[in-house]
Amino acid sequence: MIGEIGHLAMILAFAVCIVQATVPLVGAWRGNRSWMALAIPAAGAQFALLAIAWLCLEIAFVANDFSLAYVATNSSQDLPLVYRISAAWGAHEGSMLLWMLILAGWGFAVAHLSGALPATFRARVLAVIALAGTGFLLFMLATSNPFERILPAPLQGRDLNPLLQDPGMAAHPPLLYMGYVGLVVPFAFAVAALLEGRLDLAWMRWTRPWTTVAWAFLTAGIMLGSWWAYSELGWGGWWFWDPVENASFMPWLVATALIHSLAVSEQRGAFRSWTLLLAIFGFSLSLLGTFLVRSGVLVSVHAFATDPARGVFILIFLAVVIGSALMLYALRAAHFTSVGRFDLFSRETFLLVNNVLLVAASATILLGTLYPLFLDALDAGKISVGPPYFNAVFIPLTLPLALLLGFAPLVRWKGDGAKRVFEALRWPLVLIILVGIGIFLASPASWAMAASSACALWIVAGVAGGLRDRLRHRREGGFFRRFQRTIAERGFIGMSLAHLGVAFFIAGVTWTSGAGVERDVRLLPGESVDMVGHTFRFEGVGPLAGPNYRSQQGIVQVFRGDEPITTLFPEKRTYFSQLQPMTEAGIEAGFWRDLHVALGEEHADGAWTMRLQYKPLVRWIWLGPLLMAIGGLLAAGDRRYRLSLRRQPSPVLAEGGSSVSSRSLQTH
Amino acid sequence: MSASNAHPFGLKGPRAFGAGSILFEIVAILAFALFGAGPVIATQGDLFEPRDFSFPAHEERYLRMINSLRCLVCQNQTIAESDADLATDLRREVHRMIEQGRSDEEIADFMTARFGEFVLYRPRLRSDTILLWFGPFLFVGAGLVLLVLRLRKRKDALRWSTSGSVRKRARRLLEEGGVRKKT
Repeated sequence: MIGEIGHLAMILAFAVCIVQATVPLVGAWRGNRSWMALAIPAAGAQFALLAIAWLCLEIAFVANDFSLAYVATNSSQDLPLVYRISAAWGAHEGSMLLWMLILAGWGFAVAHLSGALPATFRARVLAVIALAGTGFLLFMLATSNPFERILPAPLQGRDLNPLLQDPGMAAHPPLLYMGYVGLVVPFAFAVAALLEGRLDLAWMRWTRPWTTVAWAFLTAGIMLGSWWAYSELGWGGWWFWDPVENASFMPWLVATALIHSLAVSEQRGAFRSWTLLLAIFGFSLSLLGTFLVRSGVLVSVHAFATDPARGVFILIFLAVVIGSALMLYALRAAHFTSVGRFDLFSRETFLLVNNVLLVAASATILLGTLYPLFLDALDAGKISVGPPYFNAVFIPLTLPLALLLGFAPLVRWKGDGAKRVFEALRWPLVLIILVGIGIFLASPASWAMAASSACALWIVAGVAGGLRDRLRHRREGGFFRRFQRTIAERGFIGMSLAHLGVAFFIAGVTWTSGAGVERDVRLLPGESVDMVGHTFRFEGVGPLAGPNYRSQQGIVQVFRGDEPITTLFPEKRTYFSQLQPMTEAGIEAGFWRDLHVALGEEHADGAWTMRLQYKPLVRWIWLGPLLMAIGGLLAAGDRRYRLSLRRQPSPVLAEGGSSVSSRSLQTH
Repeated sequence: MSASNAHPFGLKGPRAFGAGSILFEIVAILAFALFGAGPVIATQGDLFEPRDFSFPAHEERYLRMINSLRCLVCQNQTIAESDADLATDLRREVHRMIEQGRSDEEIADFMTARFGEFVLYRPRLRSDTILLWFGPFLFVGAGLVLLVLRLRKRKDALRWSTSGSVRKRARRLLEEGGVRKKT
């Protein structure tokens, strides 16, 4: 029964979605207010219906209703409750429903927080969101229905993929989808603006916090995925350049470019057509990612159940969405010329250089991901493009970004003197170069590591310089009062935190990959081995029973000198649902370093092989993105966005630099 | 990840090699026969089998090599990450060749002679991979050139639009527009 209610709710949501995608659009075109206003209750109804469908799926999982094929393949009676709940998004069908629920959630939020927008624009934005939703719901109903029954129902489910039975993996997809799907808001905004044929500053300002929030979620989602890979996959890697990872990284890079170009467009009115194009690309890449992950054209360790029919559907959907959006752009974008005036040496220019680099980085990943497919399609042979390629091309592409990040935020809008900026950063620069040389001489770091560390410090210096500029800029009151005022500027503080996050990330990557130590050893119980000043003593392996697995748990004591630091418990788990054992690493986490032990195989003499790892600053790899996400959320809460919501939309910014009446801006 | 090789060859289905090519199944099976037929084969490969190196530089090269060779029977993993038998054998082979003093290029040749270019995660620079290797730098270069051109054009346009006669013309047009709005 519960399955049928869920299925019915999905079908009704589909119907509502079609209404929301068409009626308000026609209303906006014909100037019919009540048709336009229909979008708002429709968004609410759609969200409510999908929430019901989602609830039904969760109930089926919690109640072990194995008559639903999806539940039977992805859950079991022994699965702990937490993982039964998260199993709902553990495979293709359910994760699509979650995706759709989140899309409807964003639509609902937009419907209720967009009162300040002109009615036609609001109607168009909501209709575009619903158009995307219509495609996805059709896709689910046609090819991926999570409520499908199997008869007779099995008594026991096949259990959730053991890899996904981890807290990090339970939280990773919802966060990631919040980001992926959140990019629909700037996309809908861009398409609506193109349909409208006009674009004023208030709308730019309105879309900025939405984009930033979506970006923050995407950042946090990718971070969690990386952290999960580190703790669950068992060999201490944190990024594998796997197609599925790339699928999330491409939209992230474009969204990062977008939040920067929105800054130029919103604050200075410049390069608005470019911003629109980025908004279109951002969501298009998240659709492309969905296609790559779920269609089976690419081989990935993240094995989603793949099906060619799904691939064809998504490919057509992708072509329709991207094709029509780009067509619209080609027809209308010429009308959005920039208005702000700026010199070559100005913050605007540097933000655009940032955009060029980020988009090129994203294009590089796309190239590397699709290149083997192209060659194969051309019958030119099979090649593999993997981590060594991406590492080789990605670092030279992103290094200039890091250098830019150190000083560009200090450059003033409109125009600045290169000399002023240089003088402001002269002493930090000298200091950092000296520190870099010091690191090279005093530590085992190679010159590349020292240079990279100096880069991270350079970014920190830029952030500090920005703070100093702000404090100096305020004339009123004493230092504390000025400091308080500056702290209250959430946009600025958010930006500074996010940039600090980049510095942490660079330092983390540099030291983990450059100075990390990894040793494979073979130890008998009682034997010990020394590594980087620590003694690892292997105490032995004992059995451990889990709810749906049996485990062999190793005990490794770690000493520094004679003083015990910690005990690690690496495991080898055998889940009842599959024969292959899974490694569960024993990790001692620390701000400065992680100790990581993974258990290998038992040998005839009772010895075990294991991998010991010392990973300096590895936590910074996730601390950095965490700071970025927090910074993004802070920036989205800046005071002026709230103010602009209450104010009437500001007068239309004219095209081509003159102020013209709003009527003449419409292109039709 | 270990889950990828529940089947002896790690083959989950006909699509395990992306394009589902029979050729690769054959290659994989041949490879298994070639390397896996010795008497010292455990039922499962040991990912963390310790190895001795005569020079520290050898270990560095070994790690670099195994991290850039594809495990052909896995979903999408290097031989450094897979405990499939084939990966285990290839790791052993790489270790042996490095200890024999063979160069990276010789090892890559050895691998591609048996498994094709598909085994290299870092494609060699050849006529059909030129775009792959230089594409990224092309993107940046083209992007920067376009940007500079746009900025220059803008500057000219702005200079032109601020000259006196144009301003006068613009004002006249504006006024006309205002009149039209009233009617």
